[in-house]
Amino acid sequence: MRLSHHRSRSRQRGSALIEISMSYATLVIVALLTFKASVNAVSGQAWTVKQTMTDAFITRETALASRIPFDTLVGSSSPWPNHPTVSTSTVSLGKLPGGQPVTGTLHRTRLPDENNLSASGGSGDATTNPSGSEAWKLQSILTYTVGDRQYVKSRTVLRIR
Amino acid sequence: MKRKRNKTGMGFTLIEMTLAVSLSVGIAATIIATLQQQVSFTRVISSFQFLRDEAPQINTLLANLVNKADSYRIYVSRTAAMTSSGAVNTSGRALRLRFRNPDGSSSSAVICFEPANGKNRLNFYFRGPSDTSWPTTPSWTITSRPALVDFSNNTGILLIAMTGPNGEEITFAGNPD
Repeated sequence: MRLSHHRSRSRQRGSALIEISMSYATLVIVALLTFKASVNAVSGQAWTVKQTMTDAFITRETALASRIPFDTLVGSSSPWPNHPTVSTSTVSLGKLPGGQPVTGTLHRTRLPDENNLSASGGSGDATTNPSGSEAWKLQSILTYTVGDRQYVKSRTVLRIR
Repeated sequence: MKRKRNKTGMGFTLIEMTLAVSLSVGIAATIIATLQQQVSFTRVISSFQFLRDEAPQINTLLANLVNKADSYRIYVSRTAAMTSSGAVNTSGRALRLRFRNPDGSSSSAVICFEPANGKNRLNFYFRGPSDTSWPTTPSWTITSRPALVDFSNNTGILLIAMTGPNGEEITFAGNPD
């Protein structure tokens, strides 16, 4: 009877150790899952913020493309060089909380309408284009990264004179 | 009078106690680390609030206002904007918009970044065609979150650069249609 009681007591003490270990393991698992969930929330947020920044930047690009004087646009130092030449530059998109700058790469080029006269990069002539109108598609392509993924955003503006 | 200890009622050994205390300390440390981690993440998430929630709404609002305007001018202050004196191209704190109405009359609005009631605010003042003077209090407040709003004109494009409460920056562009 006494031996049985002693055995029961030993089992009780051993099980307490297992219980503590299990609770510890459970706690570690919960901590890891919480950490993972938080990391996911923050990375999703970084994606949203960069969308806002790149949308704002590309709006500026569209405004500039619509606004730039035509002579500057087709000039030798045009910000949108004639395709296949592409101008590439690193641009500032904004800053994150704490002042960390966010950058992207901007590619610009312009494509002639096929009905432009040959002097303007097209294959049109006096029959197909009697007014000698000139149309260019201004393409701005912004590439940026969020985490280890690369994203591309583009806008095309049509300019005619 | 020597007391006899009952073997079955014996206490824990030193090793057991050490193990129990170590595990308890480990559990407590893990709980504290998890809480601190959550506090840090909450702080990070809330620091993004301006760029995530506020900035896109301000952009939409300002873009609509600027697009509806016929022209704009940038000034260093609300007073300068309301009196149309000393338009600038950079470091502007006020933007004056002119709207032409269908009946040929015109309305004006001033959007200005100014301190009010101990807070920096982006306020909107509206003067209708029949109003003889500008309102002294804002018609409404667009936002009170940015630490700085800078209006400038770069190659004919209106740029609105906003600095958030945590040093974040974003620049919007707009032009009257």
